Amino acid sequence: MNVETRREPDLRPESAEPPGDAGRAGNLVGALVAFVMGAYVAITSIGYGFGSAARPGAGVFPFAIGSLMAGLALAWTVMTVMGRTPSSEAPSRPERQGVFRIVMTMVAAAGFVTLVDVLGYQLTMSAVIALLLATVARVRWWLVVTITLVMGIGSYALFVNGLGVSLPAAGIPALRYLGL
Amino acid sequence: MFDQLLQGFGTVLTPQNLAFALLGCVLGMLVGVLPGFGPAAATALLLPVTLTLPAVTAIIMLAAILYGAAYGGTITAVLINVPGETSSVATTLDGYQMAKQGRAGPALAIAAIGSFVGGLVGVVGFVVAAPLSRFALAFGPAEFFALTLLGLTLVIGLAGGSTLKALIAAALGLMLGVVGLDPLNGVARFTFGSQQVLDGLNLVPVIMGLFGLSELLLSIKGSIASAAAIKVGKVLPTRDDLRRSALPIARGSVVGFATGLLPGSPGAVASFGSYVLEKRLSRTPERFGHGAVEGVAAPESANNANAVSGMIPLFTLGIPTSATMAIMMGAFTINGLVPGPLLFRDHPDVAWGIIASMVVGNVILLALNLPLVRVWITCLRIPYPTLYVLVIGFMLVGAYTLDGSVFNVVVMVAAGVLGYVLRTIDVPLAPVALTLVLGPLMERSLSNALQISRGSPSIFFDSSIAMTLLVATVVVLTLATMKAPLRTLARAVATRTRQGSVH
Repeated sequence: MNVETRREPDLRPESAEPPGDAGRAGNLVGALVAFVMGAYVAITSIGYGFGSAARPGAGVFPFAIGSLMAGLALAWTVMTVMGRTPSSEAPSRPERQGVFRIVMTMVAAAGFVTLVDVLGYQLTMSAVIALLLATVARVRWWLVVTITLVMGIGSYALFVNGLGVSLPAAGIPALRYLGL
Repeated sequence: MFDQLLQGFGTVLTPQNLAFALLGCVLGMLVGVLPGFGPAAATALLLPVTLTLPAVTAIIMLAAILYGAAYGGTITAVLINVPGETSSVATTLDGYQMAKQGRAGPALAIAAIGSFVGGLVGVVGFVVAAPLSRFALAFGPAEFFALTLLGLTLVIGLAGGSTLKALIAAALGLMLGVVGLDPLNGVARFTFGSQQVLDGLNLVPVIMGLFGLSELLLSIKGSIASAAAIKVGKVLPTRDDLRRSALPIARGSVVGFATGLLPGSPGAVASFGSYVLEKRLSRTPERFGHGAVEGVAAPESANNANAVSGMIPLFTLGIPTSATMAIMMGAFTINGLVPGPLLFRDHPDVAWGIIASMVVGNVILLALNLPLVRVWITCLRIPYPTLYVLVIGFMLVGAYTLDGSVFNVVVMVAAGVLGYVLRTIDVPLAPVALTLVLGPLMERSLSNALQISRGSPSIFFDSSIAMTLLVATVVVLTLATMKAPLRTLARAVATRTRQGSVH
């Protein structure tokens, strides 16, 4: 049997530890963010109290971790400045189209979070799928309609009727009256 | 011991559990064939599906999802040269070559047989190792703290790449792990007034985001290339294929089992280790990389044996050894079960039922593999962007159904973005997931130990078990730190030697 299969050149072979662009700027920004986070955790945890050696307070463990993170971030900064941070072999900056797809995915997720309790699951999921199919997958309109209906209504039926999971109905009475 | 295993089979072999094991295998394979989607992401993605099931059925189904997803990664490794996880990378070397020669069918069949045997060897080892859990019952807080510390250090030491970045990842996971109520004093920490994180961050949406969503975002950041034609050919392997594969499968299973016991040891160590071993032992090593069936048989058996033996530390000590095991631990917790020695004592039916389900799951996989090859190929023909949209949809609803609120969706998306950023700057993700799980355990055991000793650190040195574990921790950490300087030194020596020989 001959089949056509696509190659996705950007798909990473490993989900746990894939390579990426370890460019200097990226490393420095990463180290800075890590330092700020570590320092914030360490400083905030002082307020939780250290207790005594026999009964450690709520702040001991986070203080230790925050300080560790800040220290490691400093070491990361120094190593990056000295050019000793391991770099990956290929730059992995997203293409313009890739940035657009990622942004649309975030917009869709934000839309889901904002609307699901207002419009109900079926309408919101349909809108999310339609948006992504039209902008990310760029499939023909009839496919957008078909897949949207199958996913919006089909997944509702699967989860609610098949798995007994409750999904939200619309918060707007008129929509709820329509069974959405 | 074997009596209890038989009782475990009694638990699994009910129509309901069998049906869900079958469904788990199929769903796992379905998600596993998504290019780049490894077992960790697949298990996290499908975890919400099991939420409404009874505890034992849910864990049996999840274990089946895990095997299915691992095998799904093998399918893509052979057919389109895209492994689902690092442990399948070795399979691409000869599996894809076999596919290009029109022998994808035999490659997949041998992979399934190898996985089956590897899985069985893993289960036998599991049964033998199960009594170790009694030993772990003697662990007090000091020993447990030392154990979690060692587990964490091994994860960092064996993470590969930069030790510094692995440490950063571990610290990040520990920081996320302190969100919620402090285990000793009940003080709310870093909750920012939210009631939903008082019990800590839910592991499932974090893992779904870190491993699943970030993988998806990476997969669409670039252009999508053209197709390649694959000929599956005859599905059944020849007698010669079976003869050539027999010993590599046996050796691969042993290598995989042994490496799986090491916390943090990636599956790739097992699969590449067994691949290299077979190449060394072969009388015709030049065939490797050009479609040698042994090059598929050995790594596939190794990686399945590795996956099963990786569960031994979780079941006997309550310590997850990989991101996937961290998710399994989360699944146990969601279902009101505590993995570890107490599981064998308090819920032997569950513990042995799950072990028996591993055998059943492997049998199902073997049975499903050949008939479904063409179905998976059809799935692979669906344009990737469309698959992407469908998976995103399922992830959103999956995260929502965890507790019926959008909070977990937000957590998943945030973790996805974090995972994407970490991947782009080469910070490994596995230590984040593991320390997120181990952190609270570590803090609790540390606090309890200090309470028992009235603040004296001698409690860690008076116990010979704790002392041994702490020494092992120091050794691992030292070796991990010395990794880079030793490599530089070795390179310098090699260069000098080469220069010396030129002059």
